[in-house]
Amino acid sequence: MMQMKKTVWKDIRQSFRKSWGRFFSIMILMALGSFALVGLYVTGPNMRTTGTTYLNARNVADLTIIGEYGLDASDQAALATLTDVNALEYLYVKDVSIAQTHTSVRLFSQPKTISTPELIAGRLPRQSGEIAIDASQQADYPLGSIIHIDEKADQSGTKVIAKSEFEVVGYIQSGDFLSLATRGPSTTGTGQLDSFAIIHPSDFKSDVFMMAKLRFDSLIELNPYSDAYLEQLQIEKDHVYAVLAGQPEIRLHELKTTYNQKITTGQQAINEGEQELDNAAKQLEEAATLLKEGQQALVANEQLLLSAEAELEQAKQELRENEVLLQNTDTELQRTDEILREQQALLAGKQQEYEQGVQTLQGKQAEYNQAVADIDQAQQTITEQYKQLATAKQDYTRGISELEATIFALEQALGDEALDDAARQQLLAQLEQVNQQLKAVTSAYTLFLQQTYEPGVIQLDAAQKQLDQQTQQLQTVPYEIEAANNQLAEANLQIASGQAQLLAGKAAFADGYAHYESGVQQITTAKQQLITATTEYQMGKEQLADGQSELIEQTSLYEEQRKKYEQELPTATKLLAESREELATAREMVEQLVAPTYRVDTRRELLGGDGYKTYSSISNIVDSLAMIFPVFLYFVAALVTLTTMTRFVDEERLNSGTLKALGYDDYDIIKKFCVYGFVASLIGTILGIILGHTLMPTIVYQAYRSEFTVPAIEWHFHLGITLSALALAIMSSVIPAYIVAKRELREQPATLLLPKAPESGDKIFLEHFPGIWRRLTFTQKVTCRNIFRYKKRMYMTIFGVAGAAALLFTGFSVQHSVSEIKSRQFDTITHYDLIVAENPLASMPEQQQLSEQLRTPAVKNYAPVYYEEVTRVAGAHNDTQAITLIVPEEPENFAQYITLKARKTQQPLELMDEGAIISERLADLLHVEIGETLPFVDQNGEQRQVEITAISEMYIGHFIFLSPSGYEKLYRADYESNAYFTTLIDSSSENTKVAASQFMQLSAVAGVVQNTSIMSLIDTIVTSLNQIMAILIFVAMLLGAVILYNLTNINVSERIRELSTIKVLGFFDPEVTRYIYREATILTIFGIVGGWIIGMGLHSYILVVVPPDEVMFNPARWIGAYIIPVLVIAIISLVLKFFVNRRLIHIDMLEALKSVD
Amino acid sequence: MGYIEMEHSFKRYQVGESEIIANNDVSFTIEKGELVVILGASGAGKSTVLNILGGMDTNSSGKVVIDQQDISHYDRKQLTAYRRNDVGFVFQFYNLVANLTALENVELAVEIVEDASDPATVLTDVGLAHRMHNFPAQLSGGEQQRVAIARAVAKNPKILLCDEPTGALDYHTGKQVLQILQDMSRKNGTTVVIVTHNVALAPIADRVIHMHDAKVKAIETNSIPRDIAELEW
Ligand SMILES: Nc1ncnc2c1ncn2[C@@H]1O[C@H](COP(=O)(O)OP(=O)(O)OP(=O)(O)O)[C@@H](O)[C@H]1O
Ligand SMILES: [Mg+2]
Repeated sequence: MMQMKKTVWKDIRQSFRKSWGRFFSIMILMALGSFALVGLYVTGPNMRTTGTTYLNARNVADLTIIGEYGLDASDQAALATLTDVNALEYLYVKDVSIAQTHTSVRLFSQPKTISTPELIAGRLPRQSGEIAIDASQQADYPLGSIIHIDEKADQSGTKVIAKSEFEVVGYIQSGDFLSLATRGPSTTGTGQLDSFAIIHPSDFKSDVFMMAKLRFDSLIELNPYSDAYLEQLQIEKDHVYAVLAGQPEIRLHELKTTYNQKITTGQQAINEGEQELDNAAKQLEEAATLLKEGQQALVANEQLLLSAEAELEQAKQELRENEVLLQNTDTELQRTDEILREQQALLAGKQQEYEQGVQTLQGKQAEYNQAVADIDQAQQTITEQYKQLATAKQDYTRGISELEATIFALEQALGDEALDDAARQQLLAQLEQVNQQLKAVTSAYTLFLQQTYEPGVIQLDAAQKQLDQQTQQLQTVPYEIEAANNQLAEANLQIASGQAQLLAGKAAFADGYAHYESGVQQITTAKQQLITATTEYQMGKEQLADGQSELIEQTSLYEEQRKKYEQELPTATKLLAESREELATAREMVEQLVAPTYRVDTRRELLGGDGYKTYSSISNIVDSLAMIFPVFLYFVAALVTLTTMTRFVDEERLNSGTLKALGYDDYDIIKKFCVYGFVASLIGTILGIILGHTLMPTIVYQAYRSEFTVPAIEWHFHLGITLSALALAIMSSVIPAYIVAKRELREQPATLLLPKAPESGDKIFLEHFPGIWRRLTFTQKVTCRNIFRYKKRMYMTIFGVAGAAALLFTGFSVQHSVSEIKSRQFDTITHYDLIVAENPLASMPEQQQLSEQLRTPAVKNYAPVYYEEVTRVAGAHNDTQAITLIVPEEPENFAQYITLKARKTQQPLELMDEGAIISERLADLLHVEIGETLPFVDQNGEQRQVEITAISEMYIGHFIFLSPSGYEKLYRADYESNAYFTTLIDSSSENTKVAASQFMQLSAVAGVVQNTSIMSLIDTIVTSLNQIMAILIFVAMLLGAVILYNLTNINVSERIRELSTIKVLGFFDPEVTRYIYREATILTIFGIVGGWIIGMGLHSYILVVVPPDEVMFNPARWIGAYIIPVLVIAIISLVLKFFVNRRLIHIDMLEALKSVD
Repeated sequence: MGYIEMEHSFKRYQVGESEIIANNDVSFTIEKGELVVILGASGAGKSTVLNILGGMDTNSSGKVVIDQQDISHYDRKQLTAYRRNDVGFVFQFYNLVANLTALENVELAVEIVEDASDPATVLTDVGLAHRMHNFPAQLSGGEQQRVAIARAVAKNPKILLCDEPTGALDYHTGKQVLQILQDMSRKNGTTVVIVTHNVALAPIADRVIHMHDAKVKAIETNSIPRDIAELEW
């Protein structure tokens, strides 16, 4: 059994290898289906998840409240009563423009908790004078640069921003402004907000906050894109409205009170001004008197100075004389000093001499003493030597005498007769010896005497003699010393007397000098006194000059003041008069004050919230496409896969029969087909799932990324849709394989071993009409037969081609529908460049300025209209739709600005005396038709309803058009225009901006609307949709290619025998190809026509479901959408034909015909 | 010079390492209008000869002259033209187009040649006047083979080549089919070549080519060929 299984697996592997074409076909079909399904399904949710993450991170406000007169303590108290509030924050807000540009910037105080800015670079402002601006301005205003702002004062002339220069410290993005290009209207610049920024709260000088931001507990956890959120939000919004209901009246009252107070202070100021004027006149008079007095004092001072000068001259003379006297004394003193100095030098020389003498004398005494001592020592030495010589001589003589005594003794002994011989002998010997000794000593003595003693004595005698001589010489020296000593004593005496003389001289000199010194002192003092006196005199002189020039100055100053006073007097008087007038207008204004309105905006409705809305629109667009295309693709893919698997089972018939005959059970054989289908579709589906999760979101993101600040789209794994894709894959490949194989295996193995009986011919439907049938040529008949003979293939071809063609048709149609919006809207419908809204409070001169501006050459045409923003809740999200209500003063000329026409007929529409023309998209959204009534809410919150007389072609925005009389009937009020439609000579967007900002600068202008305001958002939608359609077109082309490849392949292999037969019959190659292509072509044509029909349906559906509420796609169909699918399929067919041709040429007809038929 | 001449024709197949010689130096001549039977055991190379003669296959070497044209050097297109205009083919397994009626099957062949016979007449000739509008599946084997013959004959080919035309038929039906073929030769002067391994058919031929082991073993001519109807086997 194991062995058998192995064979089955081997067989399965073989079947893969034999048919890569089929394998890839199934794989690609499943990949396409799952890619479109998964991709379209996940992209919308991923976008919303990304958005939610961002909104949560930035804690973007659920509701934003803007009070027309700001939000003061009473408003805050009212809002404080709201329950369920998670966070509430008040902000200062002010629109300003950047100086020298048209760029408008909305300045905010920094929110701490809600709608917190995202710091892109740098830091947030920490102190006054710093600004963090939105990152789109990064290029123009680098960090550290200074932004100069222009603030337009409000009606009452107050400004809110304390500074006009701000240093850029950072760049931010905000969750409130998701769109980079479209930020809603602004009260400055061109009337459209370009930018926003955060400054330090201390730079706002406002009593009230302008804006409140709110987050609610009940909304925090909800998905902001869910219906639950929208429903709960509406509830909260109603609460806010309820809480604020009484505020407008309260605020109006308060405001009137403050204004009246201001008027009172104004009156006071005028009174003070008048007082001031009087004071000035008085001051001038006083100044004139003071000047005269000054003149007199100056003359007296001049006299005094002259006498002082004479005194000074005298003192100078005296001083000079004293100085000469002193000079003489000085010379004398110097001479005495010199003499004294000479004497002193002389004395010093003598003293030196004396001291030298003393020294020499002392030297001589010492020498003498030394000489005496030397002589004494020499005497001693000589005496000693004498003694030594004497001693030596004595020693010799004693020795000799001793020896002689011994000899004597011995001789005596010898003489003794008693003496024996032996002893005699011995004594004799001894004697002998001593004799000899005596002889030696005697000779030594002689030698001594001769050589040492005698010369020594002579020498010593000579020395004694010399010494005696020296002693004699020394005896004179003490006398000499004595004489010198006497001499010295005398000199010493002389010196002492000299010194006494010198001391006396010195004392006399010191005396004289002291005298001189005191003289010098006296003169110095006198000199100083003179200098002081001179300085004083000089100062007196200068003071006088100063006094004189001051007087001149004062006089001219006085003259000036007087002139100025005379000049200014008329102006001041006029100014005062004006102030009085202004006060009067202010009083009037207070009278005109109306109760303020409070805007309560959701994220979608917020000024500048278009980005939020568009972002979710795009995600919804993808969602709605997810409901259509994949279903379609899968249907076609499944159909083709089914046919392909059927053919596969057929081809393997013999093989299956053999296996079955060998004893394999049905399960093993079915398994092969199921595994094949499963593997092919699984690989394809996994590929599609991966690409769907990644590629599709990325492509869509690329399409919209440049428009939004929202971060890159997140990739999330979506299990549900993944499982669905896998289930669909199995359903469209494994299940068909199972069914087909199962059915085939029901037959006996023996039958299976025979080739499947070819589908036998039968009369076709057409043959029952002999009239037609007979008229067909033979080939036509054959073609007809063949078409109907293979029904499965017929359906597959028609549906497959229809599917691909429908997708192509839809893709191109949608692309065309969206790409036409812009051109249709701006080339054929709207012609105005600006709507200039008048300020209802403008004064006459201000209005005058506006009409001048309108008459400048840059403006081509203008027309007064009544213009109002009305609302109506409509659309899938129950959004408050902003509708522009327009009432032209002269309906006859209105076509110059907006062409009202029916889209289908292109017939111009006329405004009736009663009833309204409304724009087409609005009619679609509300499902209203001509003759029905349209209810709406006007700008004062009043419900109104108007009958619809016509529906006008309009692609962008909602409009209601009324004639003046229609307006009067509807509003029961007199018609009065409040805005101008203008067309410009140069309507380029750059110039439009310039013109818009020029209008914005006028006080008589409340706002300017450019017709291009939501263009960039429309562009984003168009780009996104175009991208998605491009993907679908690509998918459709691939689908078409795979389907046609499969069809042709099956067609050829299924009919190989028939083809061989006609080859044998001598059909040329092109004839053979044509033989099978003719049917394929006809079926393809049917398919394409079917595709057109289905495509039209899809396109219509998309037009309803996909566009954002305020945008209408052009429903007109484009001829290209019909033609391109034909071309695409034709090209695919031609390419395939080339391959089929080659295959047909290589058919081995003999091989095919050999077998049993 | 014969109408059909095969001279030293070889057909070799390279199957892996080894070479199979299907036709080994085959030479014979057939005169115009003759009914020729090629006899031989299975695998002797009969079909190979016939396919080469019919321009469905080319030989490896040697000449194949048909009506003075050597077709052995024809290219694909020439061979197709040759098949189209000069040859009628009858197979053992009929090879009718299942989706076409008997008449349409004949028309299919006739459509592409000039000077063809009227399909209906030809079908009547082969005795199928009453089955003309039937589909192959609705016909017996013999009837189908007769449609196949009609299809081959209607083109008015120079030569009619039949590979085991009776192989799938019973005795009587086979005889009927052979009768038609003999008539073609006798009445219309068509050169007919029939391949068979049924030796009993030899007497009906003007010429019998015996093949064995890829070679022509013998060629004999019958001066007085027997009529099919007289023949029993
Ligand atoms: N395409 C081919 N490749 C290899 N060998 C072939 C091929 N066609 C035929 N042969 C061989 O050539 C030889 C002759 O074949 P052929 O079909 O001519 O025989 P035959 O005489 O018609 O036999 P049968 O009576 O069985 O039809 C056979 O041995 C066959 O195996
Ligand atoms: Mg054969």
